[in-house]
This record gives sequence, C-alpha cells and structure tokens, in this order.
Amino acid sequence: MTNSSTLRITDDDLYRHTSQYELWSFSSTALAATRMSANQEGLERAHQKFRSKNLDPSQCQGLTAKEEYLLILYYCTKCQDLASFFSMPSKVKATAIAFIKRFYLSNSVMDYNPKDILYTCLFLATKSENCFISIKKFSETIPKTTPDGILSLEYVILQGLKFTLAGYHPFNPLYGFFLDMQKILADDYDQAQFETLHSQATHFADESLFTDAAFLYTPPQIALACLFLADESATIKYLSVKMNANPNLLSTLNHIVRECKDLIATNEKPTVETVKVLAKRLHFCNPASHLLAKRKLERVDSSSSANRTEEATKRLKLENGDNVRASPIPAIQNLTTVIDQSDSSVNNSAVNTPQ
Amino acid sequence: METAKEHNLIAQSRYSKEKKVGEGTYAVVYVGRQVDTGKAIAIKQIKVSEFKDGLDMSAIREIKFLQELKHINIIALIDVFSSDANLSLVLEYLPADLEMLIKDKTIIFSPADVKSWMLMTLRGLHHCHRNGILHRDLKPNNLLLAPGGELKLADFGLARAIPSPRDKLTPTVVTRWYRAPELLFGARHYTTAIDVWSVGIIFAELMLRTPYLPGADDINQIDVTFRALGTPTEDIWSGVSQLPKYQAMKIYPFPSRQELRNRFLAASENALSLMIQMTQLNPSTRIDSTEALLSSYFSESPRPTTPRHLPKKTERRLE
Ligand SMILES: Nc1ncnc2c1ncn2[C@@H]1O[C@H](COP(=O)(O)OP(=O)(O)OP(=O)(O)O)[C@@H](O)[C@H]1O
Repeated sequence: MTNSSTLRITDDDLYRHTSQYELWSFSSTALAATRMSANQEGLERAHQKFRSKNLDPSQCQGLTAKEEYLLILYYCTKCQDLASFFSMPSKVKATAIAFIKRFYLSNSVMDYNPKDILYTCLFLATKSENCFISIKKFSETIPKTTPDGILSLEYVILQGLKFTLAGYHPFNPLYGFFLDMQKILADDYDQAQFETLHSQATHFADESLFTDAAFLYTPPQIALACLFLADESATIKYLSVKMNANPNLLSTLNHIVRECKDLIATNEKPTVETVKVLAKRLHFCNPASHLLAKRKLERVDSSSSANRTEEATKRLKLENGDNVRASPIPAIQNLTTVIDQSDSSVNNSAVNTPQ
Repeated sequence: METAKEHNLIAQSRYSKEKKVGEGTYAVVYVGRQVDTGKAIAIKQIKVSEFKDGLDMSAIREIKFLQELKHINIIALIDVFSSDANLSLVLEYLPADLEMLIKDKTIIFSPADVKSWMLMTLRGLHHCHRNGILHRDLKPNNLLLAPGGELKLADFGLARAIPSPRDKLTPTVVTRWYRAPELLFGARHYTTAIDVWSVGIIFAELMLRTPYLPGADDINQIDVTFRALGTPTEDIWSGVSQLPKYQAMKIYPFPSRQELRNRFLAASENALSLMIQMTQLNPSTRIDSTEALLSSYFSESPRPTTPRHLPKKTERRLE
C-alpha cells in the first residue's frame, strides 16, 4: 500500500489475461500463416474427398486463403444485417462477428459453409451476451433454416472458438475516451462537435469489425484509432494533454494507433459479383455437387436441344424468384436475396461447367 | 471435422472418470484424475438437455467467465472437451464447501479462521468485479474448499457482465437468504453491491454458525431481513419507495450498534464495522470489494489463519 503507483494493476494488465489477448491476438504475419494453414488443410480435405469418389482432385480448384477471407467478410456483413433486423445490441453483433472470424482461423469454408456458420454464431452470441431469444423464434424469422440445423453446429463452433466466448470490443473504451475528452477539451469544442465526434467514431468502430483490427490491436487502441479517423486534431490534442509527462509512450501509442487507423480506413468489402464467383467455386468443392453438375451436363448433351436448356434455365430462375417472394420477412429479403443469388447462379451455371 | 474429433479424443484421454459425486440442475459431476500427473480433478458433464435451445445458458456462462478468471480464489477451469453430444468441463477438484464446515458443529472456528475465509472470499470477488463480472449467486455452498484449505468461488452459472446503466436486469437472482434488499424490492438495475451484500451475510453466518436471515419464502425474506437490519425508507435511501415491490410494510427500527454487538458477541469492533458496511441497506452506501479488503479488520490481529491450517472436513467423496 505504501507504493501503490508501482503495484497497481491496470486495465492493460487485466486485458493481458483475457482469452482474447492470450488466444486471439496475433502479429500480422502470424495471422496470415494461421489462415494459410487452415486454408491448405481445407483444400487438402476437399481433394481427398474427390479422390475417395474416384474424381480427379485437380477438378476441385478450391479457394485461396485470401478468397476465403473475402467470403467470410461478406457473411460477416450478412450477420450484421441480421443482428440489426432482430434489433440486437451492438455487443451481440460484434461478438457474433468475432466468433465467425475466430472460427475460420482453424477451419476452412471448404469444410463449413459460412452461410450456415453465421446463423449459429449469431445465436450463440445472443446467449453469450445475455440477450436470449428462443431458437424457435430465431429460426422462424430466418428463411430456410431449422432449429436443429442451427443447433447442430454449436459444438463444432465452440470447438473452433477453443471454448472461449468473451469478446472485448472497442465500443466501451470508445465511450470512456469520449467522456474523458469532453472534460479535457471542454474549452475547445462545443456539445454539437462532441456529438458528431462520438457518432463518427462509433461508425468507424462498426467498420473495424470488418477488418483484422481485433486480432492485431487492443480494444482501447482500436477505439483511439476510430477517434483519430473521426477527428484527428481533437484526438492528438487530447492525447498530448493526457500523456504530456510521457512523450515516449505517446509516440509509441501514436505509431500503433496510426497503423490501426490505416487498417480501418482501407478496409475492403467484397462486391456481390466477387461473392457470387467464390460461392460458385465453393459449391464445386463438394464432389457430390460436382457429380450432379456433370450428370446434368450429360443429360443436356444427350437431348441436344437448345430449347430445353433455355427452358430449364428459365424455370430455375422462376423458382428462385418465387422463393424470394415467398420469404415471410420483407425486411430481410435482402439477406435472402443475396444468399439465394449466389445459390441460383450456381444452379444456372451448373449447365456450363466444364468436365 | 476429423481434426476436431481427434482433438476431443486426445483431450478426453488425458482424464480418467472415476465416480459420480453429484448432480446439479444442468450437469453431472464426476471425480477423476489427470492421467499423466495423477492429480485429482472434477469433470462437470453438461446434460444433453431437454433444453431445446441448444447449450444451456448456465453452461455458456460458466465456460465464458471461468475462461477469463484465473485466480487462486476462483475455481480453475482446466480444460473443456466435447464427446458425442456432451460437453465436459474439467475443473480443479474441490472436495468440500463452506456450508459443510458451518454445519459441522464438531468443528470450532477461531476468529482467525473466519478472517481467513473472508479474506479469500473477498479476494476472489474483487477479482471478478475488477474483470467486470457479477457472480450473482454467492452462498456458503458455492464457496468450495481445496484440500490445502484455499477457498474458491464456484458456480458461475448465474454470472453476467457488470451491467451498464441502461441495462434492464432480472431481479430473481441469488439464493433467497443471501439476496440484497434492492433485489427483494424487484429492482431492474443493480450493481456489484449485490455480491458484497451476500458476502456480508456469509460473514454473519460464519460468526453465528447458523444462517443469519433465513426467510421461509420471498415475502418472509423481506420481513426477516428488515426485522434484523431495519426497514429502509426514503430518508436513508432515496428512490427506494419507487422500486416495484416496495409497498406498505412493517417499519422496523434500525438496530443500534449495541444490539448488533450483543448478537455478534465474538466479533471485534473492526469485524462488526466491516459487516455493517457490507450490509448497508442502501446499495450506494454499501462498501465495495476493494474498500472491504482495505478494512482495518484485515490488518488488526489476529492474522488470518494460513489456508493449510484451517479447519477441515474429512474428505467426503473419495472415501
Ligand atoms: N470442483 C468440484 N470438485 C468436487 N466436487 C464438485 C465440484 N464441483 C461440483 N462438485 C459436486 O457436484 C455437485 C453438483 O455440482 P453443480 O455445480 O453441478 O450443482 P449445484 O451447484 O450443486 O446445483 P445447481 O446446478 O442446481 O446450482 C456439487 O454439489 C458438489 O458436490
């Protein structure tokens, strides 16, 4: 008690004992290597499946680690849409997205389709964040899902999460910094400016969920990066007042936060076109789909009627269109549509698959 | 995937399961050993439930929070694995609990023993609170004791993150006798102070060797609590009359220090003060776990008994 300043346990010390720090924090090279090995194992298993069906594995092109990442990011945005459709708090959304991204550090989309993983991750996140919704209601709201289907992936996902469920997000530290900035910069900015600062920084915190920030930086670092993006001069001023006794620490922090800021600012989300191409290729990593497509192609060949092909294509389109319209929830039509589109493009183009 | 299955098989083979020792609402508990060290462990196997919403919330909370809390006074989660449709938590083996000792009237507690248990309880609690976690079910039966005498907080099935001011919470938490007044009044928002109250009541129980506020049902609990500690009114707790279940009730006077002194004969002045501060009716005047740890009670003599010299129950399960 005599020397409490040296003995005090700081929030940083506590953070260093969280599972997020111990298991889910990486250098960028280590992160890339982790993804690369998950991807290669996934591709190897896909090839193995082809071999076991006496198919040539070179017919299964598979996805690269980078492509897997893009597809996963896309489903993270779908997860966000679904979370806001259910009006779930942002910590549920952020935790679900963290679950999806962590899961795919040791798994490949070629083994587990992110389209399914996203539902179970979101459901698990509602339980983990104490915002329980029954599986019945959850599944009823999402077209083409069943309670059993969603629940059947719970253990697989828990395993992928190494049985850790806590997610630490930038929102809380952001709010803490914001309150502190209001005090420290009270003479320089008015209330309206502070409010703009907060809402813009929160927007960037949301964006950061679609980057690797959480794997590479601590939540307070991410929060500061978001404040930098929202108002650089205010944030610099705030930090220099806070840390004027410690210029070395300030410059290290500055460096880290700028790096993180660049990561958030340059985040790339995949386009729907890219996603369609990738989803199609993913579809054909499954030997069964590959065989089915091949048989269809043979049938089409033998009837050798261009009309029939066209008709079949039309019918498929119609069916898919009906599906979309029949979906019970107008507000998540977008979600269904895009997921269906990637499916239907697969169906339609099956006819053209080279042997 | 195969890899996950393999991982589970390996994890499973690291532990032997010897015999069933207990059954809770959502889990069956076995004792066993860590195969390569021979160390005793407990395996808590989550029941593949009738729970139709997948993995039980209590199990989720227990896994989530125990993974984050590593502390000498909190039960250690050693491993987790799943096999078939089961999930198993491997926990450190803790063969006794504080309730068993309190009930065993052949054991005499010295003031130093009580201080030692209080210190360990508050250290564990302080670690929860500084990590942003509320326990919400503290009672002697959830304070488990290691063979070496260390006390460990267990059963995180009701725990949750410390709420932010806007969160709406359920007031039906904590086993009745250890329930703080704000919960008895049905408050939809509460703080870490509810855990401190529970520890205050456990403190009283350690000194009395019998439950301090044993209400027969929820209504009676209100009466028993305020008969002992006085009925809170707006004078000492502004806003209390607005709480959902605050209604016309018998107004008991606050006990004088002398009255409490008469009830807790063996307590030192500092012990009594600490207990009073932890059982303040108004949650905002109740002390927090940090202040409690800094109280003079812990620095005055006698020193707390070292864990291995604390009274023990003969092993109950691996006879
Ligand atoms: N770590 C442990 N070491 C030894 N025995 C244990 C351990 N944990 C639990 N037990 C034994 O298993 C029993 C069941 O424990 P569990 O925590 O599942 O349920 P509970 O707390 O008794 O009841 P509930 O689940 O209804 O709250 C306990 O009463 C105890 O006897």
